[in-house]
Amino acid sequence: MATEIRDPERKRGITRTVIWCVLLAATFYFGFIAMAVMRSH
Amino acid sequence: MAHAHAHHDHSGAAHDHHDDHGPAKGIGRWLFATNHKDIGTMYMLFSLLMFFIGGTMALVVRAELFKPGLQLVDPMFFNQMTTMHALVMIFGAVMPAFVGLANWMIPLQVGAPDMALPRMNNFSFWILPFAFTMLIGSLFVPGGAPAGGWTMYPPLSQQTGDAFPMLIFAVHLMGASSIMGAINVIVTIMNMRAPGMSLLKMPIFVWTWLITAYLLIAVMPVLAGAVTMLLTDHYFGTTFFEAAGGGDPVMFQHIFWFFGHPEVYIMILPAFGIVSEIIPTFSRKPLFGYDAMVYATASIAFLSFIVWAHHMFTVGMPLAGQMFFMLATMLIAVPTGVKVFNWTATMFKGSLSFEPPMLFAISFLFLFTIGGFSGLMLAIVPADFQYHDTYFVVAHFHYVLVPGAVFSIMAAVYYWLPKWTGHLYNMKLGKTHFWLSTIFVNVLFFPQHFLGLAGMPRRIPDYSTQFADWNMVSSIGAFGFGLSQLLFVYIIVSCIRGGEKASDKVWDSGRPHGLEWTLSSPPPYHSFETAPEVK
Repeated sequence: MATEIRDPERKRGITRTVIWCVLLAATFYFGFIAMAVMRSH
Repeated sequence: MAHAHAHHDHSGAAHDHHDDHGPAKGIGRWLFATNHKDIGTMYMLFSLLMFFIGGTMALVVRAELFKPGLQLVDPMFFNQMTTMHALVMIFGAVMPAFVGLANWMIPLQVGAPDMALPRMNNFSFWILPFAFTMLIGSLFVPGGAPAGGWTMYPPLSQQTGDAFPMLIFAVHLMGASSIMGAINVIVTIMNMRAPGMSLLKMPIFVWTWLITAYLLIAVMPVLAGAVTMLLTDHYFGTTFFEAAGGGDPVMFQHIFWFFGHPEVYIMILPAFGIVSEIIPTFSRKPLFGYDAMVYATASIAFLSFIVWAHHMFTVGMPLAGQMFFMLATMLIAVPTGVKVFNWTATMFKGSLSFEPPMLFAISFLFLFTIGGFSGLMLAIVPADFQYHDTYFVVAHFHYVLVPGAVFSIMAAVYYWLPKWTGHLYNMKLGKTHFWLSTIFVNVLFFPQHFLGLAGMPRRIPDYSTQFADWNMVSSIGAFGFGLSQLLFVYIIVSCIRGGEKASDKVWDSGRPHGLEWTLSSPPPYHSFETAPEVK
């Protein structure tokens, strides 16, 4: 069974870090595709 | 660096206690695993399996190249083997091995009860068997497996048969798994450290993994973007990389290597962390220049983003571009030199002993440095024009990846296996495995420098007779190296099955440091349920 994290401050910290990581990944994914689209003739 | 204390701080406990403190019974323990130790073990075993599958593909290549002429496989299958060997080894063997080590060791080293996102951890692992079943399964579809090289350059990769969508989907799955694994590592390190463990008190393996995880999050989506565009070019009429439609095939190379170069560091930074853990233990001294090691790792990671075009000097680029990428690449030698200096300085006047982990770490130090030096040679633009696409490049990256990354993984297994299993392995056999591996890895890869400098191109099933002698030597080395790894499996299996009881510190005569050594060997199924205090 997974270890549940109950401390609300730690939970918030985890959520925040996950959001930043996902945003970073999405920026690189869509950013590079957008760059390629703009470079296409 | 952190000093571990057995005293546990109950006031800092942020985790509830469970009634079920043991593992679940049967297959469910593994299918629904959320325990970082179980998931770490599955990653390591998966990696070992892939290491042997990828290794078998390499042996097909080396068997064909044993002498000039075509004797064993047809050229198309040969190309499938080179391509699949690379994909399986990079994404199936080396990366999952490091993620497995991260899963096992990061919670133990930062004093956390588990990874921060245990269910996602399960998902990131279980994606991999599906991804690799699909990738390896592509060998059996019409047109065979991908054969255009692991770099998937268009327009060549667009000629792949039915395996094309399987390749793209498998790469996406591997990427998703890696990104989820990386997010888990970052979230765990940033939020789950024991009270008192500031960033600059973290074990160096944790530091190198934190930086690696950021690299993964930045570049795996770039690879995903590149292969998404390959897919839309193939099926949906876009022309991102097709000159006929106004696209640019060279743009793929830029995008691919923007992922590809940091990927090289993804496979070597955790190795640096492992070696930085092992050398101080068996030198009986603290790591020389801990802060400098951290800054050097971060510098290497930063530089890895601005050197990608050194992989493609021969496509043609402005002189200023060549100069920039050449000099930026050479600059990487500075932080890497800091690391090599610090490892040497750690050993200097140390009370050295040569157990298997230390032997592999020292071998890493010498042989990775050889790979680094040949990398510097390749960074020089006019020289690269000569070496590009020759066996010199093959020799270079295999020196970095095999006695570099793979040896560090073996060193880590030999270092922490007694902690994981609670048993000591047979040291004599471990040392035999080390000597066989070190000798054969050099017999295998060193002659490839000569072949490359003499002009032998890579990715060919047949060659001119002038290259015959060194190819034969290299193939003998390959079979010797491959067979030696059976000993590695035997050592691991016997250690899991039993053996002399390991103490908590395992390396009592050495100087093991860090929180993992405060736990029993093997550690309890749920460890650090109350956070330890770090001073």
